[in-house]
Amino acid sequence: MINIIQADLYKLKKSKPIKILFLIMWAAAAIVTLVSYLVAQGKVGIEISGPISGLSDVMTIAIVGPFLAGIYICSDFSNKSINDAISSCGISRGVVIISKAIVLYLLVLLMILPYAVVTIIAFSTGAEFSEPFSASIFLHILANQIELDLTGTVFRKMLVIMFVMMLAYASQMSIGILLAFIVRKTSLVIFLGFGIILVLQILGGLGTEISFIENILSFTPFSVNNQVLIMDVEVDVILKAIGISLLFIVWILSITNGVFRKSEIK
Amino acid sequence: MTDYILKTNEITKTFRKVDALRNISITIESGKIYGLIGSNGAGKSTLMRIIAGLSFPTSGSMEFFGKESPKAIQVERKRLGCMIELPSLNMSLSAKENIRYHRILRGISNEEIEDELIRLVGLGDTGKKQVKDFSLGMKQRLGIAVSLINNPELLILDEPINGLDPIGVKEIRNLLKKLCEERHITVIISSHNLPELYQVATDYIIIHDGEIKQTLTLQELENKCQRHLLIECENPEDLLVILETELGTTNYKIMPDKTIKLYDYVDDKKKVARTIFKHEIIATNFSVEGDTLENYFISVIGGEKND
Repeated sequence: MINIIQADLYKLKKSKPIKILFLIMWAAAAIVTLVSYLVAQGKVGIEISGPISGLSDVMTIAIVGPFLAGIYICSDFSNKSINDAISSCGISRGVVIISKAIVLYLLVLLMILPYAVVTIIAFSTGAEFSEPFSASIFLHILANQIELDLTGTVFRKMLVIMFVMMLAYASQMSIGILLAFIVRKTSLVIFLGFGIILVLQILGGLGTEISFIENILSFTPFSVNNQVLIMDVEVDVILKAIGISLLFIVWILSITNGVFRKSEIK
Repeated sequence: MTDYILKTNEITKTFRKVDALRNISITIESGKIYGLIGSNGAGKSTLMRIIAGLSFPTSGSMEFFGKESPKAIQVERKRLGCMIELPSLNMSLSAKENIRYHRILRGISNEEIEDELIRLVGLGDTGKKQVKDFSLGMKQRLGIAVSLINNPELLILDEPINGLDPIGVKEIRNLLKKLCEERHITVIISSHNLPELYQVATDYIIIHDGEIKQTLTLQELENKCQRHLLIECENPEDLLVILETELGTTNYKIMPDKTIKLYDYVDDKKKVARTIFKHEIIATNFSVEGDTLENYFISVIGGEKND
């Protein structure tokens, strides 16, 4: 397993699309935070939030996650890297799935990192931020904790909350892994993945209002968002969120293994 | 005891009720180069993909380096080198970077192998050029280099010379010969063209419509394909004396049924006929036999000869 992870990290280190994407995420995080600040200061109107909401973490991750699954996993089918791992390295299909998932989660975390770093920097300035749109978890943290002083405890708690959020995001991207191992076509994985993840995220947001949806999604990372956002969140809620995210990963990867275990590889 | 590394037992593969392979039983012995020959759609790639673990048989079993359970076979596949249909290459990386990726994937720490393999396949001067800018032949050679990283005991190459120009074909052929001589690797190489494999394979497996039609050695193939005069007469001993004294040839074979295969004078059969008639030997059969490789292949798979 470690060989696949190391080899893929070597390859991804040389990947231009990944580098460009990482830069885009930094830019998106900076723009969203800047707009939040400017709206709070009254320097720009709230109407700017419409187009800018497309750069929020919820939106970008919904696109970037399936995009990463598509260009990373599907391209490994088309360039036969997965074939090679199975046919000439003695690696089982289950190990291939787990290895690819670990690397994809690392990539997703890497892509969310700009939002976390920018949020921490913005938080540390003590300035006032607004929440012009709801589709940003990090902005929600930033806009609602203004009354808190940046003490060590607050900072650690903030890091924990961000870690849980990033884990939930990574867990949500498991859907991209499942799609990549079934469909194996980059464009389809991006299209389907974006659609499914976005719908589930929206439903997750509506969960508190519609009990039927809440019941279904409460066992998935799509319900995690609103529960862990507040700084005075209880430890058991955080643990539950981590547990749900990890269980969802195990569940989706098990389904992926079930599908891929006996499938033909062209 | 026969030293075989792969044995398939009655392997059948069905796609949507159509048999792509039917009861395939082959034995691959160590140190030989097997030419897997069949027309397009004969089942060559399907068989190779099953051996490589990319596909699963509908029925039948396989023994691979002495192991029979699917899990144990999968572990043993690290002794395998494969290039099936297309080489496993990342187009945006250079030749060396591709080799490095696959070296890390195989957990091989020896970095020297990278330059060694690139030189072996004649790509030492490609530098940082991306693989997407390589010619087809260069990609094929790099694919072979990738399949050699783990120093495999069995190398599976699916149509490695397909689409190559004559120089490319010669390069691959020489490379394979070199590998077998220097590294003693067992090779299974597929092609739809028997003459293409003739100069490299030591054994042949002819497959058609998902069935093995014939397995034969190079010697057997040459015997079947070498053009000769087939002469049958009442006193073959007298005929041999005449062939040696009058026609000055010993290039013949006496077959178990006492017929004689004469490999000289195939294009001057009148001289042979005249000579043996002059010595009052009555030939009950006198004909030119033997096929071109292509016609032999066609006759084996059940087609008509093109004379």
